Amino acid sequence: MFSMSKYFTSILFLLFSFNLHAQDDEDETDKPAAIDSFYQLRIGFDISKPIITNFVPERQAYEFELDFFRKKDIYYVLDAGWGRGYQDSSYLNYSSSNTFFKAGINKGLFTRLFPNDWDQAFVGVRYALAFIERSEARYTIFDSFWGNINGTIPGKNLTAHWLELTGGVRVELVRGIFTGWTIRGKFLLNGKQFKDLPPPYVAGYGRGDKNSIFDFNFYISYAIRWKKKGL
Amino acid sequence: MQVACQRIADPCLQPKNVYVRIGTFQPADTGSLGKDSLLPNPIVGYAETNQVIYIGGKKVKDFYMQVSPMKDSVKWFITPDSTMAALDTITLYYQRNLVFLSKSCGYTYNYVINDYKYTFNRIDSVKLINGNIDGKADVQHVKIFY
Repeated sequence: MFSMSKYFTSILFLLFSFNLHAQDDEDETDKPAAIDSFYQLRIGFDISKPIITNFVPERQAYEFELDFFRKKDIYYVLDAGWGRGYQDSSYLNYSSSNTFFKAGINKGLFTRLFPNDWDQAFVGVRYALAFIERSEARYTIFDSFWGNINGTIPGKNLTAHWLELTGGVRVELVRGIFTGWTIRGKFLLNGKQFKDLPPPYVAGYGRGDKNSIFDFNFYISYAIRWKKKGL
Repeated sequence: MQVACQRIADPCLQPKNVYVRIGTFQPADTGSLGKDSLLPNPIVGYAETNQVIYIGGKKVKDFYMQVSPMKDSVKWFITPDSTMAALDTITLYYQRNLVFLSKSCGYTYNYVINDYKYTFNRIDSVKLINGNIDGKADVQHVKIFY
């Protein structure tokens, strides 16, 4: 049910963004030379992750995105956030917390048609880094014949880094207020260190025991703009 | 207590126990593989606890035995035809390795058999074929020749 609504929302926003472009074509009056006359700095918060935490409390994440438009179709992007996760079962009990940072670019798929046209569909790439603190783990091996065994694995600080391929849309609802989604294919670059005991959840990435992950964000964003000097 | 509709995050669905697979054989006329030997009425168990795992009733040639995760050796007794007076024992010496299975299943022990010894009241010889006890299917670890 949840995944169905996700795809429905995605399609809705994609269609909505195309629709806006179609309307804009009819009202076009500006000259192309003036399209890149503004810088834009936009900060977004992923509202989907706190909602998911309500249903999956063992995964908690807060994710922000900052992007900057300088010229043409390129947006410079920084993502950051934090979170925690835990595993609580009769076999294994431990937790982890982490912060993460991502840097990369988004490239718009459609040419902007006039200076106030800030809706976009994009593809992008990120390099990401997470600093993870994994707690001591307590385990129990159940054995009805020989008897149960309890033990502990010491806590450890870990660093994870990965690459992401992204795609998504942003739609300006009212001046400066955006919404939109990003889908992400994530590829862990140093998964070997997690073989012994992966962190239960890595905010910004996902399950620590997966070497590749498909994920999404749903952002509410606020943008400020200022005119380029000399234009 | 589990109740209906309770969400269990990532239930453990994989087997956690590993077993030593023992086969019984008769020496072949040529080579060292041996011919399968069905034991007519075997009794097999753990010597330290006197616990019987297999007890007669049907002809068998494969046994699955556990090793202790709390010790570095295990001693089994075996007789092919319920003649308790002519029991043999097989002792395995092994190294225990704690292995992470998954978040949902936690840990288990795998074993590497380093050495073994046996009595030969009825047994002709014992051969260690594969000393890695790690849960892989269709791997025979020990051959007993009668």
